[in-house]
Amino acid sequence: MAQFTETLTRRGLIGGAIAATLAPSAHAADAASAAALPGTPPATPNDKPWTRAAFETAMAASGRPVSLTDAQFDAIQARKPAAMQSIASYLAMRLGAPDPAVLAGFQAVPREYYHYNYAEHRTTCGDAYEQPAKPWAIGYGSALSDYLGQAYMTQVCKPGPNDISLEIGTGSGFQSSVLSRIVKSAYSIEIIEPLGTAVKKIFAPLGYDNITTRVGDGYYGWPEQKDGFDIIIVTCAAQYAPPALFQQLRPGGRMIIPIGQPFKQGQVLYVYRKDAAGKIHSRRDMGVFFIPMTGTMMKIPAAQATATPS
Amino acid sequence: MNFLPLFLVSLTALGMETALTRYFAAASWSDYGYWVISIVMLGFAASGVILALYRDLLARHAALLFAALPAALITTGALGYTATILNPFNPLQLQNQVTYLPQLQNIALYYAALLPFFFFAGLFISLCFVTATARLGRVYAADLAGASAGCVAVLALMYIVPPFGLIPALLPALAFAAWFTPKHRLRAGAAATLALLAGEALLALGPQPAISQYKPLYAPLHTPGARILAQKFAPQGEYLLLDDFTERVNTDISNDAAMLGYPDPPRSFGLYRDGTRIASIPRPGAIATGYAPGALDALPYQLLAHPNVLLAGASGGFRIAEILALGATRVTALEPEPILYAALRRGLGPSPPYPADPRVTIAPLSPVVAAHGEKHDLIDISADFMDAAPANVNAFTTQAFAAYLTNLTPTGLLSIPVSIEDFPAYALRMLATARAALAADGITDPDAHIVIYRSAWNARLLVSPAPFSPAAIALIAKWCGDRSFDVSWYNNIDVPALRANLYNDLPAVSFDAGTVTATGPDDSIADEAAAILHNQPSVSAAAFNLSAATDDRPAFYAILRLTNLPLLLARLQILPQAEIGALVNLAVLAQATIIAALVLCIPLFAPRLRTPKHAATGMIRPSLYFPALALGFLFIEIFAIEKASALLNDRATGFAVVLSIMLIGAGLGSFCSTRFAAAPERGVWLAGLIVIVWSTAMLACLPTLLLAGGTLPTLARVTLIVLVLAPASIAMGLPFPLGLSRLENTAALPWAWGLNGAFSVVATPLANLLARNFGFHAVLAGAVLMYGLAVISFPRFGRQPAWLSSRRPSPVAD
Repeated sequence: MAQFTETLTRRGLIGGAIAATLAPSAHAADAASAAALPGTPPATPNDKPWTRAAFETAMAASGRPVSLTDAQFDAIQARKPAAMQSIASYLAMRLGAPDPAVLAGFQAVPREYYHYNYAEHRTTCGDAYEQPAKPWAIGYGSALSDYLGQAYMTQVCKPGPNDISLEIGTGSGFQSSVLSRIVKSAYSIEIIEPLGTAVKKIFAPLGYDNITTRVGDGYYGWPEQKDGFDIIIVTCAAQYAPPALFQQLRPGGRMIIPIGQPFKQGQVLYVYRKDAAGKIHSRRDMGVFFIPMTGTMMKIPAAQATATPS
Repeated sequence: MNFLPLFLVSLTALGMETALTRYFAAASWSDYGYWVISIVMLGFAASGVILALYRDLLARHAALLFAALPAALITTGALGYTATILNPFNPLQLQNQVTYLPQLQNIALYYAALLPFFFFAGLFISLCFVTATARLGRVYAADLAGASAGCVAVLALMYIVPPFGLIPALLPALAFAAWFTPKHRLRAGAAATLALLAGEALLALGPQPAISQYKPLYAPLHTPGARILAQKFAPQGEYLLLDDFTERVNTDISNDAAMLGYPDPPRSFGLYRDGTRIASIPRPGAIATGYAPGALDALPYQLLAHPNVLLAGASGGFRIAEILALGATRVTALEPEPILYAALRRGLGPSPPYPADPRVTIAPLSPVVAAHGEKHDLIDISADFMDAAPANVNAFTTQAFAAYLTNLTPTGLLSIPVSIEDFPAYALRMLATARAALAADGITDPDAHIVIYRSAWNARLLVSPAPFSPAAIALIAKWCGDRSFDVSWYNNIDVPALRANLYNDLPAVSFDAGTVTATGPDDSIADEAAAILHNQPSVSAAAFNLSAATDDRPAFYAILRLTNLPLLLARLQILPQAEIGALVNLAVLAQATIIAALVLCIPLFAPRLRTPKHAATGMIRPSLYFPALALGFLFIEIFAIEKASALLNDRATGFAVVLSIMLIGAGLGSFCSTRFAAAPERGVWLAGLIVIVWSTAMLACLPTLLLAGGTLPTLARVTLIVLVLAPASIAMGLPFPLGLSRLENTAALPWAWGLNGAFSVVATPLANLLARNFGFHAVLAGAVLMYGLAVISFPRFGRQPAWLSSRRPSPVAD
């Protein structure tokens, strides 16, 4: 297979240099987050230093060979701390405080590995951790959503270390990868055949052995997983969530349906939960577009709610 | 002068314009087709300006230009279309402040790609005017006849050729034109033929157009085992019937359906139009309806025993089967969308027609027309009805709802769907429309006559001529509670208690402040329903235009206040796709206004056109006259397209019929303009008078005409449109050539042509925005105003500036 050489723009190199000057080093951040969360999965793929060689080896093993210079790779890593800071600030503004597990997940997963256009067989890794965050086309009508919106949705999922997640619509695989660093196991189904076939190969080279994917119909979920799921994300819903998915949602579990086109800065989310009686409740979450009023982060009892919005 | 080349160039120019709007509708989204109109008229305006500045030079070489331009048109047409195909424009990225800039650059590339073709087309046409000044009326008539023929030709082609194949099908007309040029015929024909062969080869073997990968069709088409079962071409769009594992009946079913024991909505085929899914189509075999009692739209069938139902929108036949299973005794199913109607009656691909059933009548009527027949117990509008066809929006106006209510039995119900997926405020606008309809029927206390209930995605309004009884409300509440639906409004609702028992939290937000204003579980529809029903101020009513939809202002997804543009741009990312067209119109209007102003001012800045002292007076009249004609003509055209679409129940047919009639009529008027050669002012006054009388008659009689004509066969309706529109069209063909005749043998003639083109660009988005914000009566009033202005600004003899006169006769004048 032909080798592809990524040529970074001057913007990327300069931005990386500035970020490196202003931000703590990536390795320091890795060590800090790992130390803050004992028992979390490895902070780097395969628990080994994430170097240019490791990146190229993993890309080649996933069927997407790429060649970078040291300067190009370092520029990408240099932008990461600023992006992580953006994520933390974003989550704090919109959800009150960032979930350390979510931050650790984003820290652990090398986003540049997912910057790839499968239809054009072309890497866009040089654009990773861009400022400001934005979505990127990955071919076949799909997109790698901007990292802020993805962080928001990940935190809304409230992932925990004993959770099992299911994603209908694998896309780039980034969401499943981040969740896999937090939950016990992650399942993912992609309906678009060429995309799903290609993305299926990207997890093993990173050592993400708790991700299981397939190409096919997600309507009936993953019935082989008898214990059900704590988190279900459905990215290709019509105007209702398939009843079979609700059946596979565990009590206390969360189903998330993002709506709207993927090139916005985040999406409106429908968040479903199952109550003790098994009845489904939904909430329309517009947090990526509308921030809570100051001082209203804690919900007040319904009886005290005003009749009309202030 | 041989008019055939002019006829064919005009035919191809209009055909290309229409073909490009179809290209954008299929490959992208139809909102962006407005740019095509802008590019076309910009090309025409630019050609007029160039010809005004270099008239003598170009007129001296007119014979050579007439011979060369067909080949140039073919070449720029093929290359421009190819460049358009290659343009990586992604309109979805326009809605993100971080990614929109490269997309603006891509839009500029569209202009660069397509402008040359329309510039050369405009140059050819305006050169005909310049070189045949003694026969301006006939030249204009040939131009309009060609344009009309182009409209008809493209319409006919749309039935047999996919939208991406229209442009290759049109190019041969230009090669044909070359063989009829008056001079250099052999070389012109050879050059054009060679260009045609090269151009067609490029279009056949080069980059191929495709439906956008971001449209709903793409993912299902690329699932394992996906098959295209049928394909149909029509002016309304390219239809594909798909079989893949994602295709199911798309109904808003209870989240507790499995717990309640309802089966899943069945698998189906999917019908897509220009890449957007419009319906589920039944697979062979009986239609399974076990899921029906769990769907949001099933509630009315619990409130009415064995109703006689008028159903608007058959949803491929599934809704007919559903409501029969829910207890309907008789169903009149209306399906105005032509392909969906044909699928019901004759089947589509392997999907069978709806089985014959004595309880069921299927008709291609609009519900407004059908509501003037026998009375019904229930008028049920399907959730997908509004989006199934553009003309269906007329079924959701105050006048339509009032007609439905009159058609109901005393205890009957009207069931109205509204999507709240994008903006819950749409439910409030639908509520305002229902309130206005009740008031029109003499019911001034709407509180007790409306119930709103909803899922997370959709709401339904139940409207009744009689107040809802407490027993009915209790039944509604229990039915909804069993299915995890919520009731957002009924008379004397306890909103705080409602919030404590919500299944689908719908928090209130402030569009202005960008904040979530709800502090706990909330129902933002319930919060404001009372205020809307009593026409009182509310947060949403302040942020959006929630006034009732009317026949005069039927566009439903038109609640943004365009006067607050900075706020809209700040909230661009949350705006629904359906509202984006208004912003595109604004952008096109701004650009068009700048260009029109430049064209208007060209003579002021061209050194060779510097005027003597008295010339300012002579320039003012043409500066007002020709822009006023452009605006007035387009305003009436857009008004007529809207009303014809409502009468014919189909926008594509309405567009084609109106455009053809107006162009042919104006051509006839132009042909007759020579009768006023001795006193052209009389012709202009006559035209203005006819337009004013016609417009007044339209305002007074149109509602009656639309209603009376709605039940006629299609051919009779088209005939009615011809009879109504022809007199005004013929009259509107008089002023332009009469005005040009005052400028003959002057450099101002092509400048006037350019002015007309430039202000035509302004007219289209301006008319759309006027209609959206004030109603179509405002568009018609604008037309009357413009023709009035034209009448009083008709250019006079002896007042022309010296620079406009050319002492030498044109070397190529006919």
